[in-house]
Amino acid sequence: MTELLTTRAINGTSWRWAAAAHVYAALTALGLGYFIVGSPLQLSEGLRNMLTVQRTGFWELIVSQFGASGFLRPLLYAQIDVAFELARGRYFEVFKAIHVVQVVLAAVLFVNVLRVRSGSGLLVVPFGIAMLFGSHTFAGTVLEAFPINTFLTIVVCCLMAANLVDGTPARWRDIAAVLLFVFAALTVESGLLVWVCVAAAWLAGFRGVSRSAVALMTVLLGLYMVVRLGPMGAGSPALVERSSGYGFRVLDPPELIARFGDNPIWFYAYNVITQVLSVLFAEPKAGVWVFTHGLVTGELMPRDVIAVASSVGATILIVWYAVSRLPDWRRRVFTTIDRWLFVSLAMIAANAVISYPYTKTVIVSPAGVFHALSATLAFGVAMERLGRARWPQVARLATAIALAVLSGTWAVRLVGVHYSLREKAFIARNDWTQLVIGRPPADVDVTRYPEAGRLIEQLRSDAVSRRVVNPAFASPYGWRYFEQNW
Amino acid sequence: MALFRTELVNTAAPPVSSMQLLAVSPLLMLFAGTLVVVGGWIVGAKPFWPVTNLTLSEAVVTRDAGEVVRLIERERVDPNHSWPVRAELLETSPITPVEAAVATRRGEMVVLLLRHGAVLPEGPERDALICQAVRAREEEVVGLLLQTGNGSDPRGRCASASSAR
Repeated sequence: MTELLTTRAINGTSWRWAAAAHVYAALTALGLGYFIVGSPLQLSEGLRNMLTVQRTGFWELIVSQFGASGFLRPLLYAQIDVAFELARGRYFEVFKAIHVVQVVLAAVLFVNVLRVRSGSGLLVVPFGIAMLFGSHTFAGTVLEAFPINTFLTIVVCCLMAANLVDGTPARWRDIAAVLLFVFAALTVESGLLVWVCVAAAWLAGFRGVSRSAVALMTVLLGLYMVVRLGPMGAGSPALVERSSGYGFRVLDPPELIARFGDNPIWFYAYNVITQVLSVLFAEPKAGVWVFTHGLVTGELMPRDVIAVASSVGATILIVWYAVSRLPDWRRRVFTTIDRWLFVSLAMIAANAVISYPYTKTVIVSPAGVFHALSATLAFGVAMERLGRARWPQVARLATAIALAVLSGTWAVRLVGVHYSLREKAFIARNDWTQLVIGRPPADVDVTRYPEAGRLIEQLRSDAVSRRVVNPAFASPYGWRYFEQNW
Repeated sequence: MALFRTELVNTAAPPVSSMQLLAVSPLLMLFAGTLVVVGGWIVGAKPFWPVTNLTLSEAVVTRDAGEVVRLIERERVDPNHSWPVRAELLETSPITPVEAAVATRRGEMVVLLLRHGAVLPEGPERDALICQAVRAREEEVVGLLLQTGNGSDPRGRCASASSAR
């Protein structure tokens, strides 16, 4: 079987195609970065986190996080603190630069896994990047920042892990994989997915990271669990801590407690199952059956149809590929694409399990990335057959049109992320106007911390002075076609 | 023994076919837009970032709180003056920002304007504004307006004023 993608050797002019693929990815990411930079820094969570690191020392921050209830994220604040100190007052520039660099890294690392080596392979990249950035699971990583988007950090870590596992075995890969896991796991719970990626990849046959390193990471994972569930008592978030989608709407903590307080198992199972479905079919979203509700009530929006159609189409491509490979799998013959499919399934399942306490679309952003990876590889196989097949012209045209329709739906979703970023800029700027000069937020004691008052003023002033797009004048009907962030 | 067997064949790929190009054509067209965005960004232009210059009253009508604050704090625009409003946004023009907020039922804008130096007119004009909010059934706005000026409550006269008009 010939592959457009995932062949390792670079010969002749193939490096040029690889370079072109990376440039395409970086440019598309920068296009997204332009809209990220257009938005002021985020008030909710972002300001609170910046105030926290401003008045707390680096080590004090880390130690205090080990005693936090429900969460174990010491490096989350450490990253914000380091960036905050390095910024030296240029907070907007530094935090936005970090955000854009992360988006570019995600795109480049994603494309690097594809191993593009030909012109035909390069054509698959636009589809992959559109799926990566256009997915509803990814939207939350660019629309929000606290002021560093932790979920995007984990997406980048998982993609780094994917790049580490697929290559020639080397000691540096082992060390990097272990350090990456420690960093990700102590940043946010989803960071544990780095271990899932490396372990699943090893099981699938990737040997870039050695068995010893995988074993060491497994020991560290066990240690994490012991620390989390044992002496630190971090446990897991209680029902009272978050709202969560259930059925056709989002339930507030009191409603969640009333329904599931006695026995939350069903609620947790619902969350896990719906998160898997969300990645594969874009329905439900964050536990809410948006498309189904629209169908039942006759209020279906084009945006919901586009989202579900594109995700279902991508999943069908994966299933088609898997079915076409069944004969080889029975003979235990596996290709690199098969291995990535195995890793992707593991990532989707594990990511869904990790998000059992509450549903939020961005939590499954790593799973969304691996769904995009599998679908892109399957798309590459379909493109290869389209290019080589001796089918009748009508059949080839029909296949090309079907793939073009799928590409088109993802193009709309990718445009939608840009549209949402523009809207987010409008909302983020308006949020800052809730703060009044001389009257800081009630929970900030500016008498005791005058520098906090100065920080608030600086950020507010910066936000208000930024000119943003008023949705009433620019694409006022865009909300019908472009998804909302769940 | 490895669980899986590798099968990687690196043969020369055929040239790109028209069918393959057709399959990704929507995404290639979109990439042209990306090049415009990135190119524009590099040269300092603002592609796909159409900022509309608004009057203070227009900013109120379109819930552009950020622009309201920018105009008052940075541009020193008078929040008590009547400002023109585009016909597609509001029938009445020119109109004061507070009147615009009441006419479009923007309670949060009334709060924002009062916080930034807007002063309600006294006498019949104040009464008319409160009655307008009563007719719009904006309880929150009515409550805010009643606290301004001399604090008198004209609601009992609203119905008669409305019928007389």
